[in-house]
Amino acid sequence: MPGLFAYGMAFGTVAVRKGFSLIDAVIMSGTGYAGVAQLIVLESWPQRLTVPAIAATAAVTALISSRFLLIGASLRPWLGSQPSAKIYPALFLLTELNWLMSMRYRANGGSDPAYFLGGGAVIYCVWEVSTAAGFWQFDRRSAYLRYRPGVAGVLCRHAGVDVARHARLDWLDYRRRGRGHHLLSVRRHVAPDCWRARRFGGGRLDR
Amino acid sequence: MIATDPAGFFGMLPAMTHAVYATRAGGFWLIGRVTIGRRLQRMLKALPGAVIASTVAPILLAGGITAWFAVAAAAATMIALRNDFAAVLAGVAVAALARGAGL
Repeated sequence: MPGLFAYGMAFGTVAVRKGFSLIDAVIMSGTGYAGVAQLIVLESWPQRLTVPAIAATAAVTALISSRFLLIGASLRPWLGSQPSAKIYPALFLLTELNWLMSMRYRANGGSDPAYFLGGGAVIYCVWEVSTAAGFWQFDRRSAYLRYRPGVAGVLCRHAGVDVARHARLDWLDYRRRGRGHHLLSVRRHVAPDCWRARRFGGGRLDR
Repeated sequence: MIATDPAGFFGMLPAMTHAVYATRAGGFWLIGRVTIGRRLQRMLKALPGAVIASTVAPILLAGGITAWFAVAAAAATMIALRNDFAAVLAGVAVAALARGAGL
């Protein structure tokens, strides 16, 4: 469980570095739910998300997750008698941890399939929370705007404003005066810059 | 990046989700397609051990002597006490000691 939490936090941290928002990271953890594969995908996140790039990433994900093929197969003797309308949704929550716990539970004479489902649900929650925790603890330490592109951040990137330079200044500002003042200064200084850059077709300086 | 390419991000999500879910459900589904004879039954029984061994093996190879000590300590504790928490504690403690001793 601590190991799981550490991995979740690592994912959250990498997500910040890659410019994901908290919601993006949590959504990715919640739908992909691929554990280590998520980390690897994130580290090799393609520059441009074309269809071949996405297909390649999916293939890599499947390859890394292929251990689940064997793990799933070993669940068949136990869960094979369950109705498939129940078992296939539950398999979404299959991880090494609840599989291992279920195997132990079975070896000790247990047979209630709810054990597998309950363990999976707990692990799912831990994964989500640890992703958010990793994101948060890195985000607090990192430059505010660069790594948390809200509406202003997205606008700046599209407009080609040097977000990194602003972020360095803003981060000092944020540390010194707190969030309320900081947001005010973003609105006063960065947002007009975005607007100006867009109007005059400014170059993309931040890449 | 999501900030510059939200459409791509939301294309990536279902691709990943389906790829992973296919492996999760696929093994279970595939093995249900075949009739489970005596040999297959024995194979399935041996699978958990094999999966765990294949998880530990790369760690042993990459971790060097520290990992060997830690896994040996965990295995010895498991055999002696039949308690997985004690085994994990023993493994972590030995790994910490070995690292601390500069191995």
